[in-house]
Amino acid sequence: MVINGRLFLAILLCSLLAGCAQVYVPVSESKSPPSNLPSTFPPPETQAPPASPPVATESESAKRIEPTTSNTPVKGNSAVASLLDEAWRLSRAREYDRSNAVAERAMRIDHAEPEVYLVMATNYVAMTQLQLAEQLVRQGLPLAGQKPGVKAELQSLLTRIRSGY
Amino acid sequence: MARKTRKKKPRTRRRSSQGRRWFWRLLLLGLVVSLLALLVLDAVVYQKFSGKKWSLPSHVCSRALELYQGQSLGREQLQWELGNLGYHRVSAAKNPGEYSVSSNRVELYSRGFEFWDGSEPARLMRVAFQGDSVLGLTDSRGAPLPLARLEPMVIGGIYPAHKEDRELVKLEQLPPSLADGLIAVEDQRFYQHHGLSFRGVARAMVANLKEGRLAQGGSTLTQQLVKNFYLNQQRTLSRKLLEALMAVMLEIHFSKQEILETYINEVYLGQAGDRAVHGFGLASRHYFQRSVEELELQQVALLVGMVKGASYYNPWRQPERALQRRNLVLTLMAEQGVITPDAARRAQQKPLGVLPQQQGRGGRWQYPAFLDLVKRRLREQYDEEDLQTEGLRIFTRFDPQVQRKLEARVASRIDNLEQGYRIETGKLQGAAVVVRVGSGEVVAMAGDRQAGYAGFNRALDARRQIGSTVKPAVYLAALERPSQYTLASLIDDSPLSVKAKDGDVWEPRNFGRESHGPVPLYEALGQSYNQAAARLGLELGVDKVVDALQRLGYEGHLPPLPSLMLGAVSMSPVEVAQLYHTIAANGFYTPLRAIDSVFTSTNTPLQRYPFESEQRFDPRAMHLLHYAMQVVLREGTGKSAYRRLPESLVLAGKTGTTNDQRDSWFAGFSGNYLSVVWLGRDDNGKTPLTGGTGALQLWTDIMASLDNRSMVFNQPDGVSYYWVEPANGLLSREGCAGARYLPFIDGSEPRQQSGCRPDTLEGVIDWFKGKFGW
Repeated sequence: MVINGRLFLAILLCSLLAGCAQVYVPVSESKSPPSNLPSTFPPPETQAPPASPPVATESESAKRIEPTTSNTPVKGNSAVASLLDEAWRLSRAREYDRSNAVAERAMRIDHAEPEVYLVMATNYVAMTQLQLAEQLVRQGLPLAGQKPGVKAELQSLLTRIRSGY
Repeated sequence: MARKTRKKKPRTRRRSSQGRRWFWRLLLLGLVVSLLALLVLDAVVYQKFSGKKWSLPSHVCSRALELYQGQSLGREQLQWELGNLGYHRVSAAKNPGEYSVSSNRVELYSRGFEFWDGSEPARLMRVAFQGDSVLGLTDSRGAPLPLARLEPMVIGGIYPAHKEDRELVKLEQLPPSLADGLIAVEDQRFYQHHGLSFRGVARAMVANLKEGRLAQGGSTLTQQLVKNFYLNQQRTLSRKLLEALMAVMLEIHFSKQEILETYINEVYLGQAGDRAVHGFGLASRHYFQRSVEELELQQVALLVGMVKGASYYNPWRQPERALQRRNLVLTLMAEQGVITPDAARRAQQKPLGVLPQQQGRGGRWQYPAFLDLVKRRLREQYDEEDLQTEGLRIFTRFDPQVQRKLEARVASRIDNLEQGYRIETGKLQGAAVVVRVGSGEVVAMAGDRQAGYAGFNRALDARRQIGSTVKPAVYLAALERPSQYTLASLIDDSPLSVKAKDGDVWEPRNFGRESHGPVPLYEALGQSYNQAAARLGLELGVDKVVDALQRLGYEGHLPPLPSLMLGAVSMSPVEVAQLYHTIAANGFYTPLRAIDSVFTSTNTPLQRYPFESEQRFDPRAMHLLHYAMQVVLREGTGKSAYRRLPESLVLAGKTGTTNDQRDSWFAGFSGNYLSVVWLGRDDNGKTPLTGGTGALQLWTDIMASLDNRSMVFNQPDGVSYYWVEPANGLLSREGCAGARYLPFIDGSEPRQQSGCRPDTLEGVIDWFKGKFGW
């Protein structure tokens, strides 16, 4: 009951404040395109300042600029998985260059797949090209948020590289 | 007298004997010289034939199309690809190079291919479609295939000065009717004679006498080969003798099979623009767009018939004549028992079946701008002579599907802008580059508004001032200093003037000639305010901006002048693409690549161009820049892009306009493609276009035609989001008036709270929570 009462109070206050809230109005455009242009023609590059002070009420667009919590799902995951399997197989067979070529095929389908960087970095470590390997690990790590296993392997590889493995 | 006579006789005898001696000496000398000449000739014949026979041009290939479930590829697109690869539509695919089509499915029999990373087998597969994407990929038994690859498309070549082009084939590759048919028509006693056929000469003489003109030649295949391979086309007696001698020598040293194979690769069979088509391998692609193994009987017969005169029997210019010749060849083949009379009759019923002439391989290569890029990259590592003669096979990442979309949009949008803005027809030019984000591979390029134009390549050579396209480098240099600048930092956008050492005064002004006072940094970039950018750059120091541009990947000279802050530096579209790719790749620099790998003419892997990257920027600063570049497209100078692109697609980019609107730029990226567009006039004249009204429109067209994914915008470690009040940069709350959710590098966030009031239900609840500690 207490909670419901608080909620009621909140809703009441909210409805009172709603009348004062600013509504987002798109900024006006200083120039119009020539009248003979198709309707899809955009405004000039630099627009006039907004009618309101610089602090406009937050727009719907602005709300959308938020970090993504995971990478956009990529169509063709099974293809990427199959290519990564093949890249690991070639890596185990010490065919590092071919393994990297296969990993690059996976990268073309999904460059945000962290395992691509893991397999390539592993190959470069095996070829004792540690600088290249480190760069690949660094590139893979920020992408591995949703894949703790891959992230752990990348971190472990980075430790090995830095210790001069 | 008698004595005199007696005296004279011995002198005559002496003279006579001296003459005989000289005769024998000269004869001997002549024999020795002739023998030496024969030995030299023999050595020439042997060496040229046993060594490298031809200067082989290098051929440039596109990427191989990967097929997999979920791929964005429509049925028509696959059919277009198959058509360009020379696949033949049939009712049921049974052989490599064939495909059949039903309403939502394509069944195809791929050709095998040797790639750097392994072999792709020839196999029958079924591709099911749903709209414009691949619903499923299965093998011939219906089992799912994770993925499959088609062979790459040949998109161009690098030729020697004599412009001979050929594709070498081996005898075992040929359809049986080809070699046998050639012998039946050109040299029936090929396997019996030793280079010369006296019977053939006699038969030709009789025929010529009967006709009263030179109707038949008596040359064997070996003689014809000698004429084409070693000698010129003169028809003199001495040359005929030489030809006969060399033919015999050739037969002594080499087997019939070697001679026949060389003939099949040497013979002239037509012209593709300024390039001569030699050999049956290339001719089969040129006329029928199929490999020699895939030729059908009537096609074999046409090519065999053309040996007699490729121009005279040209099937495009003289189809009737070519058809008659082909049918005569089929009759001869049947008479000689190479084929059955029934097979000959059936083949004679068929049409010539050659490609439309403009599709004949390489009348003119279709993608000169991209080939230009490939050649320039190759010349950094290979001698020109090797490129022209060693028959290298160069595999690139060029995507013909993206290229054709790019070309269509460049042409139509420039026409549309000319009409809409009343620009003199033909004056507006453009260039565009499309790069795959992450791998840094250039997948398509337009160097002119007209597709296929092989002149000035603006994508590589039009170095134009880049205007505001430079600003992300300025703002990045600032955001790398979180103790000084954040996205919420207020930048003064009031007029400024800078006095140079030489006394000149630089007074940058905004495009609209208006000033905006203090504006948040993200908004200054989003709205492309010049005064704010110039002031920010000057606060930072020109050297910091120069350093940022160099780390982004610019390798040219950068004038250390204040005007650099507003893009007073000339770059080509591909150079701008390099800078923006480093931004798109989250601060990792990857040299843009056009070439994937190089193979020798014998298919031996020679060189690969692997993916490499180098971290050059802090991912936290890059995240902040990505935010501001999204503002450009959501709210700023690039927002019209979302009129034609889905709202859900996360994109980032920047417009660019130079003084007097001489150059219109847009560079921007999604999660998988980066595109850079330049529009302007070749004479550097004024245009009515800004970056937003010109290049952005074409950029939007291009991006709307591609299968884009949202850019990766993951929050990196060390970055936190806060609600702030942009007017003063103070901390705010969700729902507070004007509050904006901005990313900050940890430690740089504002500390002071503004006195905001929430204006949404959530905000009110938060406010109450804060007030009463709920």
